[in-house]
Amino acid sequence: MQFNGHPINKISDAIWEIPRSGEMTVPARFYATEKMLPQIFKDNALSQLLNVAHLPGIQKYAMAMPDIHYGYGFPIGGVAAFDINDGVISPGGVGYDINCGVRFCRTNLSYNEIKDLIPKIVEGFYKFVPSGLGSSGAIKKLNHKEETEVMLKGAKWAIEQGFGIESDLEHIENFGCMKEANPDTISERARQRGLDQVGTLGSGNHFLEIGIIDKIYDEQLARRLSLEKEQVIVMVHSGSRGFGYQVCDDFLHQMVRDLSSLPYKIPDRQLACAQFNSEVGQKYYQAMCCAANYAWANRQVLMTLAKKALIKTLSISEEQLGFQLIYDVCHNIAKIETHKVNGKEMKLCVHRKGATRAFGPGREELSDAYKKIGQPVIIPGDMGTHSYLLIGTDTAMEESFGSCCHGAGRVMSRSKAKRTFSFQQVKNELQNKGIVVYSVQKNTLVEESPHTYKNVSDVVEAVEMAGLAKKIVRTRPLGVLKG
Amino acid sequence: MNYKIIDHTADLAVEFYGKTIAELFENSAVSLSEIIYDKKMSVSEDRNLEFNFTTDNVEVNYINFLREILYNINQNYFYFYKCKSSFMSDTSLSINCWYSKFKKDDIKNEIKAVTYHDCDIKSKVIDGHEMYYAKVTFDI
Repeated sequence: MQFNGHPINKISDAIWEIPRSGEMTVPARFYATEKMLPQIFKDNALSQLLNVAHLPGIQKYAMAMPDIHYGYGFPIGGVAAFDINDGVISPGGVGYDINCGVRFCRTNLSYNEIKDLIPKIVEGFYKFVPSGLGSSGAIKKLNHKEETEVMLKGAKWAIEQGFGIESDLEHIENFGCMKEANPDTISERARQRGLDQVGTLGSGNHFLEIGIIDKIYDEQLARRLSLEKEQVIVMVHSGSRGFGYQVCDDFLHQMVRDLSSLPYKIPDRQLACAQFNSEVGQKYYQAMCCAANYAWANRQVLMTLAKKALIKTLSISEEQLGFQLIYDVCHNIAKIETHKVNGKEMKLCVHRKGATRAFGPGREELSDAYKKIGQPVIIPGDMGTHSYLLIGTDTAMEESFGSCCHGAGRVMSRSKAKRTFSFQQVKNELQNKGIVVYSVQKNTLVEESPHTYKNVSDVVEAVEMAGLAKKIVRTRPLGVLKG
Repeated sequence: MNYKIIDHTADLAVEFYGKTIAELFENSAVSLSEIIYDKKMSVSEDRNLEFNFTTDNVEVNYINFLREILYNINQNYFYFYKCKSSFMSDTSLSINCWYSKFKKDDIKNEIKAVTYHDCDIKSKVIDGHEMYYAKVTFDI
């Protein structure tokens, strides 16, 4: 088997490798079942993965998860780890929506209690949660000092403002804050863009979803997380909004400008990077941490708004609702982590772009709630099908720097979706499946039609076959608010 | 034809055209506004912004120009309806862009960022005329 003249070796039923050649510094590995391969080849995302394998200081492999699809610079679903001493950090390897991520929450409600109220619930979400392009206004416009606090404190800032409770932090990657954040690295433009967007969902593939658990795969783990069949859950998907975009844009611009002075060549300007330990590398990392914290504050507010919407719409008490955050994972981020490379522990800057951390048991980064069992991994499907909650594994630690896929992965362009489907067609199809959807922008609903994504169950099957994560429960959507 | 939308799995790819490099810059700014507002807007104002670039690294400067245009659309809700460029020297390009200010709700297609991915400025013959074109990938 070949891709663009590169041989592809089968490592196992769900692992494939393209050997190092030319100026690649490591081989490329991707995770997929055999039946997923034609789509992956068609999409040409592997050419972007091969580009990543050229970057200086990359360790083991340039990797892609089963939801791999064509992006820019890195493919979506890409994972790459760099030696912090002689490797690089790349804003394009993190992406524009820094710490775009998803959180999964449980409630005490069961399907029978809300099955006739889904339209009202989605309407309640719409009233409480600002959504759509450039949305603003969930909380009053921040001043300079408050925005600095958001950058430094992340989710904790939101909790201090009354959005959530202290124990939520135990259920968020990094406890909702990256300590290396340095607001001095943030441009005035980024500050301006961030002033009125905390607590806003945004547009594109961001969503707020209410669903139910319809299948349990691991009874013991499900019980441990207080999850059961027919239980109502809520998922929130959003990121660092215009603030994160501006941070990425500012530093990418700077690194592209400096490219000609670097001692190495990169195959795509969007992969522009800097030595992690260089001045600009450090400044970007500190700025990225500010944006990551902004995103955690945003999701913390959004989650609390969703909770308030449910209490108000259903006229129930907080105790009756029993709303509780299970976990919050990042999709677009670079983190300093220790992993074994060729039997030796190394400090690495792990880039995950459209990929999720999937730490197994025992990692010191995990809170007490998850240290023994591993980290929950949330894999949302498209708005018409299932989503999954999994748990990280030891295998992921050995194989993929503790990483896993982040969703289903697109297969159809947004422009083709608009040519192929109408708003009413998509809405009717979802309605026929019993899914109530509200989309601020009609275009968004069509662009995010279920047919534009891979089958999430195939993606999860590949992940489990490769041993990167283990299924706990499956959910199905009842109501979705899209931006 | 000043631009054409190209299929891209996750984001938006656009080919922009111009008879000269300078016209490519001009058309791209106006076309980007039309894509984001989803139509040609009726304009009544006559305000302008001036951008200055060198042409020594034309692709990078072209992307930087689009970054500035996009920032002003997204942050200030400007709609750029006319651009006029002039070379100040062999390598120095000045572009005047006229705009009207609209409201957030007038924006119909959100484009979040301009990427440098695979951007090359080349020339090819289209309908018997030599045209410059640039393929640009936008994050949406």
